Amino acid sequence: MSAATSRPTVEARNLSVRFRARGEAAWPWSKAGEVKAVENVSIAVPRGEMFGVAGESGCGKSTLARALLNLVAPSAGEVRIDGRAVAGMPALELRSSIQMVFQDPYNSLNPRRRVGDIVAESLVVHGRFDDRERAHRTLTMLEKVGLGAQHLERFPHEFSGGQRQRIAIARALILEPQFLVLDEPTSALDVSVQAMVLELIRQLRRDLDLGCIFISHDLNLLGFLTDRLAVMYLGRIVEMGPTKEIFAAPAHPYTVELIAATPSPYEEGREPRQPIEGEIPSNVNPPPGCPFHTRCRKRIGPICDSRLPELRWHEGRAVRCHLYDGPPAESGGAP
Amino acid sequence: MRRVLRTLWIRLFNSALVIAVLSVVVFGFMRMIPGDPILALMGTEGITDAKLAEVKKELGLDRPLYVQYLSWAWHVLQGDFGRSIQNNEPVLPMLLERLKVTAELAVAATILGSSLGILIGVVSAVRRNTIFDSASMIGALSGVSMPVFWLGIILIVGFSVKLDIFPTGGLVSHNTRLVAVTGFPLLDSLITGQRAATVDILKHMVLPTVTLAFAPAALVARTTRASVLEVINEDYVNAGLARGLSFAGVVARHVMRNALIPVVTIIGLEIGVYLGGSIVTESVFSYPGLGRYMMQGIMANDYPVVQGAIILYAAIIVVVNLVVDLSYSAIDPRVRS
Amino acid sequence: MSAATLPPAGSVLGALKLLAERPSAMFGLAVIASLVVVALLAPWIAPYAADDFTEGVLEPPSWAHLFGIDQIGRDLFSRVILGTRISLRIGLLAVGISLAFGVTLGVLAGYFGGWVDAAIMRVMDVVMALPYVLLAVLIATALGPSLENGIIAIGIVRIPRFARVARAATLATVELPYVEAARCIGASHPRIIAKEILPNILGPLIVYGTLSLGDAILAAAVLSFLGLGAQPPTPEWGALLYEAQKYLTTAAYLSLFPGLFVFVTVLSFNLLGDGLRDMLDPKSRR
Ligand SMILES: Nc1ncnc2c1ncn2[C@@H]1O[C@H](COP(=O)(O)OP(=O)(O)OP(=O)(O)O)[C@@H](O)[C@H]1O
Ligand SMILES: [Mg+2]
Repeated sequence: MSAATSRPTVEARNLSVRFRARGEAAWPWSKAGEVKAVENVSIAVPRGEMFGVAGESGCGKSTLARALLNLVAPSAGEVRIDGRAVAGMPALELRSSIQMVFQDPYNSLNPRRRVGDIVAESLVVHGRFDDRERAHRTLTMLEKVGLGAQHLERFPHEFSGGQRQRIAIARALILEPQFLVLDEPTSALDVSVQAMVLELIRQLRRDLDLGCIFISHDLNLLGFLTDRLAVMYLGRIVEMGPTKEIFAAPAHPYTVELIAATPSPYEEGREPRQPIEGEIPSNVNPPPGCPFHTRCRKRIGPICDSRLPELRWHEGRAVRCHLYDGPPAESGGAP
Repeated sequence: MRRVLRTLWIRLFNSALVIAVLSVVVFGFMRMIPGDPILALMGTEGITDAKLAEVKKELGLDRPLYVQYLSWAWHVLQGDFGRSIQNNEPVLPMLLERLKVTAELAVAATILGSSLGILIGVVSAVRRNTIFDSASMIGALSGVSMPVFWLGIILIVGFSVKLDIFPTGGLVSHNTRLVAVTGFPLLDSLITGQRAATVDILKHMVLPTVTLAFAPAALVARTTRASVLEVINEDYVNAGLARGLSFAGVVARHVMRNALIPVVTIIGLEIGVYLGGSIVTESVFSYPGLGRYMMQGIMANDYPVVQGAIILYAAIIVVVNLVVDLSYSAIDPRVRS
Repeated sequence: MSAATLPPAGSVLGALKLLAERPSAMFGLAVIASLVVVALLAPWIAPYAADDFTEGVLEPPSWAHLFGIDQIGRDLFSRVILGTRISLRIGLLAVGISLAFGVTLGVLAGYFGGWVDAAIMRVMDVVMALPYVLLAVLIATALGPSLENGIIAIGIVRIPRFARVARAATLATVELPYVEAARCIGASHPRIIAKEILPNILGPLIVYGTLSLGDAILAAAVLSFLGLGAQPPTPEWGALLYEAQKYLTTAAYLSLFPGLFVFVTVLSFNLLGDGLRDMLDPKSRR
């Protein structure tokens, strides 16, 4: 996990993001609860890699994405790109090295602007090139994502969801970033359209040598698309490693259930599998100990409810579970 | 409960803040007014600079502005609104006396406006898209668009000048003597059993009341209609009908209870409209209430009167809004956020 | 209030077509259009100048003098027609003031939130604590009675209302992903406000502005009627009513026509404004 790779890398180091819980405090002077959206997350994604982030709704995936782009300030820890902290980086420099595609293609494009303007806006904001060159590049970019000159003057509402997502991708990539964060870019799309957008993303990743962070709750998609995978639960990473290996032998009980709950793409038409039992605990007052212990079927004892497991190296990946507390050294116990 | 308490605290604090800031603003504005109150009072002729300075000193008008403000504010907090520059009488008792007159008018108008508005609104909603509905909604929009003073003028022309049913203005006729007990004219006449005076006062109240109630009635009618329509389509209405309740029964029992919450709020918040309207209405009908008194104070550059009147207006509105807000949030848990 | 959106392509023609489905709004629009024409052509339509004296005083309406002759022999019809220009101008200027300041403050409050929001909206609360008329009276008094000061007073009074509308619409818009997308490509706050927020909050502002035009004209008439706005002999409608007040018993027609013009004008703006609101916010359609 060190940044020793020679390739440029986007890194989160012990990143935590907390929000003031909305409308909680009873008195003006009493302390409001905090939403612990992201807790102590460390990842490193080099250029050229497709990195997946999985997890149920509300586990902090989008917040992590926004923190990577410095769209929310971290409460602790930091984000570094190529070794430099993004917090101090000039805004435009940061923006031209990492970009994002949002989940909801119906709201991520300003309905009052023409597609050509939306895509060119990035260049205008960065003061790059003159009008002609901008127009040229906008068109080239649109063509790269499968649209054309006839679309320049149209408004977003004239496009399908898939086309809109292509426009959003064009807007992000026209700045020629090294890294691209995709926050559930296809979850709002029909399955058939999804495949085409995914193919486009794969192809662009290859052509432009992008480092991609692909966020999704669809494990099938991540399994097919990504090189490495991080599974998040209640703001924390519970398992992280090469995607193939995680799928072959998931280590964390949560990952096991998550994979079990995902309908296999080969069993089309069958009922979706059993969802994971139990409710997701509150991220304002997370359960003590292992955050997953309230739903875990492999609880091993009181330690699960009292001590937060650390991320440990286990068979080529990192796992946060007391099952893998190392050799049966329960004796080394409570400090 | 804690939330309600917290809301209460914050609202109270905000209300106090509003009035405090407003007092500064009003004080500042009054001092900006072109023209000198002393000159307005004494006339410009035969007055020496020395005499002028002496009078100013006596009234404390020679001190720095912020000192004048602080001293005024301190006194106001103790219920002392100063003395009128025009006649050197204490301001507060006079303000309160006028306020009582305005209060009777405003209450009458509120009752008339709200009941008329609710009635029209409910009937329009129930008889939706009929001629009655269209007519009353056009009427309501006209009510909102009608210049209050013009309405007053038309009523005077019609009912006083042409038909001679009601007097053109004033609180009572010249020959009516009022006995003050509480200071509320209508109430006093009832208490003392002066039937002639009661009738006379009521006669004088009719046109101003109608004038004042018109715009709020229109607003209430529009709100009621919208709110009843919202509720009427909900499931329990159909359920009620299915259980064999008559339509009128369902409307009376379920619709009204749920639909009237926003309406009651609107009525409570209309207090500003009534008070604002009363300034104009009292002007048109020479009705000796707070609004007219304040306008006279403005014309005479009588700072203490105008400041006092405005603070009084603001205090009434803020308190009423506070009460409405809090009782509303007590009724409807959804707004407790 | 939810952020109502204009029809996306924003074509005036499309908007008119939608509006045409609402006869009352079209009626309002038609009246307003004719008032604008009258205002523009007033000097040519009015048979007399504002201070021309004709023969006779306090003459009731006749074919020669449609609205009658006033107490010092001026043709009331001409004065009312010339007043159209004044009243519409008052409406535009006053609403212009409210719009400029109110939208600026409201957008800043909604966009930045936090203490900026708290500070701005607290001040707005203070201004809103007083009845509209009372505050206008107060400001007009402080500035001194005149047409211009009346306009300023009315403009100031409505600032908080515009601020509220703008703030609510902004709050509904800043949360949308396209605003975050704009931050994401590095756009500055002013640019985001200008390019992403403002165009998308125009709907509610247009509705509220239209309704306000009527209200501003009404308020101006009230001020003049109280002697605090336009001063005679200016033929502003409220000032005409102020003058006519003394002749209620003898010449009621002097009060009738100027008041009627105020009423019809305000009503038309309200009809149009209501229609626009229904058009932009389909939920409120009944
Ligand atoms: N601005 C904010 N203020 C307060 N709480 C927030 C804010 N943004 C997010 N949260 C909370 O943080 C938690 C994580 O939210 P986040 O959007 O990151 O989840 P997610 O994993 O992306 O979920 P989804 O799959 O639904 O998109 C949620 O509980 C959310 O309510
Ligand atoms: Mg998300």
